[in-house]
Amino acid sequence: MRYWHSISGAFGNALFVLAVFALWGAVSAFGILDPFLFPGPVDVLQRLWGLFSSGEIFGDLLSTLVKIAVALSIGSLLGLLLGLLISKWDYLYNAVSPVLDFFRSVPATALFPLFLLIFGVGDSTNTALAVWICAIYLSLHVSKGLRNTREIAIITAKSLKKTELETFLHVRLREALPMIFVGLRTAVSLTVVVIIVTEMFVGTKSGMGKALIDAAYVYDIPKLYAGITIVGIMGYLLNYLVIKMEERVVHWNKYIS
Amino acid sequence: MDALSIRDVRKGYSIMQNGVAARVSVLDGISLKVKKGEFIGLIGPNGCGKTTLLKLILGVERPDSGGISVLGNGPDETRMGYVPQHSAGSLYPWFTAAENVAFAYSSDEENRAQRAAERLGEFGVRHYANAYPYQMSGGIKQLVSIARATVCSEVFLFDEPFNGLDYQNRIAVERKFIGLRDGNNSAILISHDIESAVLTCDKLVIMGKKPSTIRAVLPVGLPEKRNHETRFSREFNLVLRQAFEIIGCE
Repeated sequence: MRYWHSISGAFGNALFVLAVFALWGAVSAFGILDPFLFPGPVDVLQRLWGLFSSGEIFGDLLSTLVKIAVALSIGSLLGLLLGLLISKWDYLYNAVSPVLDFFRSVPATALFPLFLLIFGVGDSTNTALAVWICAIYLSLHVSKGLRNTREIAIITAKSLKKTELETFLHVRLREALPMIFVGLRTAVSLTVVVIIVTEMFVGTKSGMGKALIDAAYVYDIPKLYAGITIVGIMGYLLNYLVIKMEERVVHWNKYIS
Repeated sequence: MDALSIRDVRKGYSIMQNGVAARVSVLDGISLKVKKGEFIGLIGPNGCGKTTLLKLILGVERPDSGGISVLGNGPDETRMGYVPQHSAGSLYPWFTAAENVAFAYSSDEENRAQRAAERLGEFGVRHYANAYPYQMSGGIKQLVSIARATVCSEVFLFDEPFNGLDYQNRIAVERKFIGLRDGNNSAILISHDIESAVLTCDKLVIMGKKPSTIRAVLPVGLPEKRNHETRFSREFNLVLRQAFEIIGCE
């Protein structure tokens, strides 16, 4: 029964994608929209195939993936450490969390010129900006999660005379995990956005963002669509990975929330 | 040595009333001794401070005045088996039943998993060892929670353990409480279920409305060997009647 559900679900999804392609093809074939700006799916798929078969896109794709991986690794680590630190003391939390909230509200791209001055022209600027935004989002969620442990969970650990470390590792941290994953999901999405967008700015040598803006400059519209498709698939897969990780690590959450 | 000694404990909270800070007294001079091996039923109206008293005994909160000692030590120094109100929520949802019970053992204890499984077996829920709390019914969660609380403790604090249980599960939990009465264990049982309190306890301590004092102490005086049938005995119903008479005149 379960397999039938997943097969029928996958079939439904495939059917929907086919319907979208058919509609897109029809719009293109009948010239409803300008075929120069809105090329048909066959043109885009051909260009997509060409980008991979020629290896033209590999450099840009790898560059973006490396930047995302580095930004997420450093940003998550910093966010986790900062969140742990400010959650520990009330006065620190009360002093620091409004500042973090302020910087969360500043659009990351508005900080790009400042980061460009600090880190100079090159890939380190986009990566540093993504680290910044990832760390801010994650630290806020880590600190909130750690400070909102249910009283009953703490009292139970206290009654069992568990040490501070045991209580932290087995109770507080576990209780905070659902909130941490909310932060992680947002941080991953924003990291991808910041990397791709800032790759379009001055000083970037390679990356999917640069490939997209270069395609737009020379009116290589099928490449632009193919690039958007690659970036879309990349973002979707990253998000899917985090959701699957969340389902595995925080398996209880959907039953109690 | 008393298992638990509460000496003239007073506790209040600050609240805002019409924008003005006010002090509300919850416990107004509570004194109580629980001898080793004794089970005490704590009965009183909603909001009279029974759970607050348990938090003070656990050392989670401090009394404004007065003192509490558990087995001759401060509350912070003594391990106690605690089954909180809505105990289902006290089971850690990321642990299986066996892991929840194993968590109660010291981390350097050998064969924790094995001992936890055995403990679950004693409570008749061993086949739930690998189940997570969200996969268990309310009654099973209650039994697992009690199984965890009774690990390595001699003093137990039970807060409304019969809440939300059907008749069969209530009987099962009562049976486990009676099983804990081995002369070495001591307990405070908070319950609105006076029948279960009479069946499982040696004394009923009846508290008044907030700010609470102890209004009466009623010895139960039932034979040591008790079971489900005891509730149909004449002595049981006599004590129950006395308890209702005291509670009823508030």
